[in-house]
Amino acid sequence: MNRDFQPDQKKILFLRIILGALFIFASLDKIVDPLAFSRIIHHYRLSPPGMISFTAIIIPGIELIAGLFLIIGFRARASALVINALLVFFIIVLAITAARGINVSCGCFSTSTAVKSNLILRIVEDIGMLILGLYIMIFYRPKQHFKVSS
Amino acid sequence: MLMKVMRDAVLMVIASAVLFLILNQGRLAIGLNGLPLDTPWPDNRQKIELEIPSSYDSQIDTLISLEDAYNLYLSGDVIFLDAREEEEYAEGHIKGALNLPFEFWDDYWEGVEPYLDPQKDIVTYCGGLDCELSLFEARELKTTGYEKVYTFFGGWQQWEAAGLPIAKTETDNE
Repeated sequence: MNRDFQPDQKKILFLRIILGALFIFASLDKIVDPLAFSRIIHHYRLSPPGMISFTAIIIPGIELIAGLFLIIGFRARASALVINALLVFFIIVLAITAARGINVSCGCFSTSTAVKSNLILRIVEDIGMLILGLYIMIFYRPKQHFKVSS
Repeated sequence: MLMKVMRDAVLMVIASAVLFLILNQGRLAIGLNGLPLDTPWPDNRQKIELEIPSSYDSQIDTLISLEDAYNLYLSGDVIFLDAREEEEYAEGHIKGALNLPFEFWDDYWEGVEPYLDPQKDIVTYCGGLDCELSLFEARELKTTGYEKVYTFFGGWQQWEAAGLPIAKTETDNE
């Protein structure tokens, strides 16, 4: 990596707030109504029955914590890594579902099932967020409280 | 450095998962929309083509899948009607379903009607896959003035095979 390249950390902070807020926002509906979210997971026809409730409980939790930590800057690079891993997971799930031709409500930002999602559009959105997350993970520098001379 | 980030990330995932599983147990305990971990879900990973009854008419009949039926069941805002005979119903039926044997409609209708609400969803079912009583019952209900009537054609067979909630009637209820 080019060690001389140091993007403005104010810009990184701005990007952290955007990505973190998206994840917090995405988690809220699912935390409020885990049953609705578990139905959506079930509709993807991918999860073993015994895993559905478990997944419906932990995914929004991880989204919320990672989004929160990314914004406040506590373990921000690890938070970005968690978010990126989730996004890769979501992209794979959406791609498989699109390939199988299954019509689902995404469950991405809400637990509404009123509208069937355009999966390709959702994949593009997730890739956009993934680029954001990778950028943060690579260029974020924690505040140095004391310098270590090298 | 990279190792530390990865380790932190793994810890973060585990800690959030544990925290929210505990919170969920708390929500279950105080009745705040918690989700029981052992909620029974039908296994739908293999895509099964819905078998269509031979007398199915897309103009008048509305068929729903096992998933749809179960989602309605979970919503709680639905009446299931079992169109089979009382003996079969007694041996096992969808939990909460009412018995309205299609072939003895007039004998049972008065007992069932008070429970029905034209504003609410009604799902009819019978033995499943080769039984058309549920379809006829749904048509009869529609002519009676109920509009939100659906037929779960997979019926008792699919519901029981999926391990979903059932009930039995004591035979001395007669």
